[in-house]
Amino acid sequence: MKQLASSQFSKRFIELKGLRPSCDWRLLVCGCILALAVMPTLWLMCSSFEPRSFAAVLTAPFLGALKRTLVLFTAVIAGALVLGWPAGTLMGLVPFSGQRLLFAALAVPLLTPSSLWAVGISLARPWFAYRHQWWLDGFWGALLAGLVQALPLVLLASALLVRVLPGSQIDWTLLSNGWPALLVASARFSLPAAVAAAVLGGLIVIADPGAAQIMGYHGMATEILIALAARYDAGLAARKTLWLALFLLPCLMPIAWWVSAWSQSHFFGRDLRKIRPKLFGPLPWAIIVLSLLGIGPLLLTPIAGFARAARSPQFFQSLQYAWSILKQSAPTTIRYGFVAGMIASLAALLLILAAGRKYQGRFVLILFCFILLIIPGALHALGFAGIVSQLPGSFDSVTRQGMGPGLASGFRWLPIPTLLCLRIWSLVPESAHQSAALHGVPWFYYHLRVTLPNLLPALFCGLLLVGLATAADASSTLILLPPGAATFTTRIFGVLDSTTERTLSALCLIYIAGGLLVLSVFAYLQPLVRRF
Amino acid sequence: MATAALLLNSCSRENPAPPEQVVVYSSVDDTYSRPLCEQFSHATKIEVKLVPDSEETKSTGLLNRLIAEKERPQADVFWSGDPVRAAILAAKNIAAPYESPQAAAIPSEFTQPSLGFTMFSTRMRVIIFNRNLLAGKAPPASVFDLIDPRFRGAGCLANPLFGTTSMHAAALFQVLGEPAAKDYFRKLTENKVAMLSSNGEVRRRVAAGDFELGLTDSDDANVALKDGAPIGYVLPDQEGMGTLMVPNAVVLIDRGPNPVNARRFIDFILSPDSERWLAESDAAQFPLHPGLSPPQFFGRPLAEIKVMKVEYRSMAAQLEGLNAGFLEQWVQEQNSLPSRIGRGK
Repeated sequence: MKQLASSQFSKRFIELKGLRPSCDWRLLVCGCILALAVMPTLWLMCSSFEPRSFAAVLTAPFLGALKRTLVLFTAVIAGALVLGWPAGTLMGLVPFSGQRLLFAALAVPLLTPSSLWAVGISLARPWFAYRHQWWLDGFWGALLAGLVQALPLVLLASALLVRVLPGSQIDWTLLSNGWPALLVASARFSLPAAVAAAVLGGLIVIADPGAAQIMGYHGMATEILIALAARYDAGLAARKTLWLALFLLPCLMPIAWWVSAWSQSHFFGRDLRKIRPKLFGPLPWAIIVLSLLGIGPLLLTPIAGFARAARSPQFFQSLQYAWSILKQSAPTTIRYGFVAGMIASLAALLLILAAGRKYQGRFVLILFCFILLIIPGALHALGFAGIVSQLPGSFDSVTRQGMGPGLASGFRWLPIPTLLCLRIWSLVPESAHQSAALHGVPWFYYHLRVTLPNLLPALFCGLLLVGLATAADASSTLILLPPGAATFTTRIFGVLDSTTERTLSALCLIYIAGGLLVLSVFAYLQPLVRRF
Repeated sequence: MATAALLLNSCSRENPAPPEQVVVYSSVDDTYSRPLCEQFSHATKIEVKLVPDSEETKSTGLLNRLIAEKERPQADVFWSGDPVRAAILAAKNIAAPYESPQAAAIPSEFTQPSLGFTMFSTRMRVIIFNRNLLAGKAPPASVFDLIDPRFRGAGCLANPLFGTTSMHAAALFQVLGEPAAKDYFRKLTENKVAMLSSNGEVRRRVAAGDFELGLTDSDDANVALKDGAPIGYVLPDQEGMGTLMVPNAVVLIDRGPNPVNARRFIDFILSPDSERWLAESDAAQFPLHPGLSPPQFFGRPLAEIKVMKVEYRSMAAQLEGLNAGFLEQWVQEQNSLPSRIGRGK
């Protein structure tokens, strides 16, 4: 009772001092940003809404596609957790040389169009006898292509989370029961983050029709693509997306609640002293090596597919062509990526400041992030294009020219910096707010000197990830690209059907190498940003 | 955020729009559309702002974009790789009528003003086959060979809801009649013909030996042959209903921002020089202007090829009905089938 009264007192005290904005202000800010993010899809839905047409979507083929989607969603989550969670937990605990480079390499699939990985897997088929190719096609092929994206997400999330394990807990566990106990304790600690990352990965996979088309495993993304590409009915596509969200909601809500409640209880007020334990015995190394042996082939299969085409004697010419395309499209690609990253990071910062410290707000944000990722990029972009065409021409300089794709992508990829900032914001102890309030620190000064430096690494990381995700996106970028502009990805997709395998392979390999380079530089620069 | 956005936008290179420009949306492969646009810019000093389509959203992104932008279009011209997408635009009142003087020599069936668009250089639908797998066997000669038991589980085609395969499906419904066409599609399922994502994948999978034969476009076959793939091709049904032609189509967009330049671009793209370039490139497209040499790939003039007689204008409406009915159901049945590997082997 005393505890409750004290907590209510400190809450009221902080609100009075203005360090935490009042509830109305929070609701307004959160509501506006969330509405902006989903507005294009809602606009499409409302522009052709009829109650009958909403229910008419539920046909037997639709339900079949939904079933296949749920099967793939579950399989991707399970596969990514089984492989990524233990490996990520260990890699987060145990430092080894080249770790940053490995993490950068693991992040490359997250930032490469899934269709390209699917093409790579498809090109890898001839390495195997025909009777063994089944696992590179259909459900298994789609699962493989999905895992290539979801697994690194889980692995990196687990590794990052376990690094903030309280030093006292590591000391205590190591002293009492040694390495096996630390492994179990830290794995339990990183599980919620790994589950959240796996769900995010699963949603990204099921919302993308590209890999499903190539692998021939058709779920809801294909259903939505048919509504767009064969029926030219964006409203129908929006209704199908809404149904998908409604069917997934019962599964997503408890996960979002669990993760938000867990982050509340596990982070606030903890001792965040960092400890890098020394490696004892063969067990941790054995698990790392085994994990890498499991993950390696998964990621290397598509690259092996591209490498097969690289055996051609004219491959060097294809590389030169790919390089010239990269040089032509790099400025536009970087600009759109940067605009999208800036918008997503700033919107995420506002969201976090408004709602990030309360577990109810945290729950709403996590659930919103999940739902936003269900919306296919093309649908979001078509809604954006539709809204823009209703606006007066004076808006064109912002909405239709260089800013358009960045603006739309920024809101589409808002979940990335939001989740990153949510994690970091949770780490700032409540006592920091209380002592600032006690000493009468002004609201703006506190956020400038305490909040912003804490969130800066997450914002920088979010900017980079959103930028790269925007660069990787073809379907929505093509709908919003200003005439005459092209990103590297849209140039690749422009020749995907008409070019030779070796040229396609050269383009994809250049893309992967470029992504690896950017991420490696970031991995080594990140500590400097943190220090800054 | 808005300040940052405006600052960034002021640094944008695309912001200061040049006075002379034309905005072209094109669902033709970038490899072929971009060089022709550059030639136009070089000849007229009018900058072409090209928006290409991608394989992932083939003829989807751009058509939907044009529909979404209908209230205030950005595009001046839509250059479509097939006439069906152009007919859909005409049906949705997005196309403006234009009779180009350059189209005067093209046969009138491709340039009727009532169409709302103008057709030019044409591809053909072809059957490609893997020479190694078919060694010693008679090559296919008709689209009906896909439902022949001797090719059970060995054939493939692209998804008939999208791209030129959808046009082919609509053409079969026109020529064979609805009952026979539906029967044909049911037999495709019975004969375990695999449905792949695109014509490009049909080319890749037949070249790789995953399938013995597949239905695709002539430019795909040409690219595979130039890449040294062990494939051959046939123009199907030369003894029967003929081979389907897939002409390009160009549409003037109603209320586009640069109508004068748009007409100049359409004149350029319909000229014999452009058709000659498309014939000589890897696109290997037949010119529709009389007297121009056929592509080396075909080795014979268009007049010597029996072509399928279809009504292009009604095809769009027909396809719209099929895509919301029989074809969608057929595709959904295909989608629910297990892995395509080893279906028939």
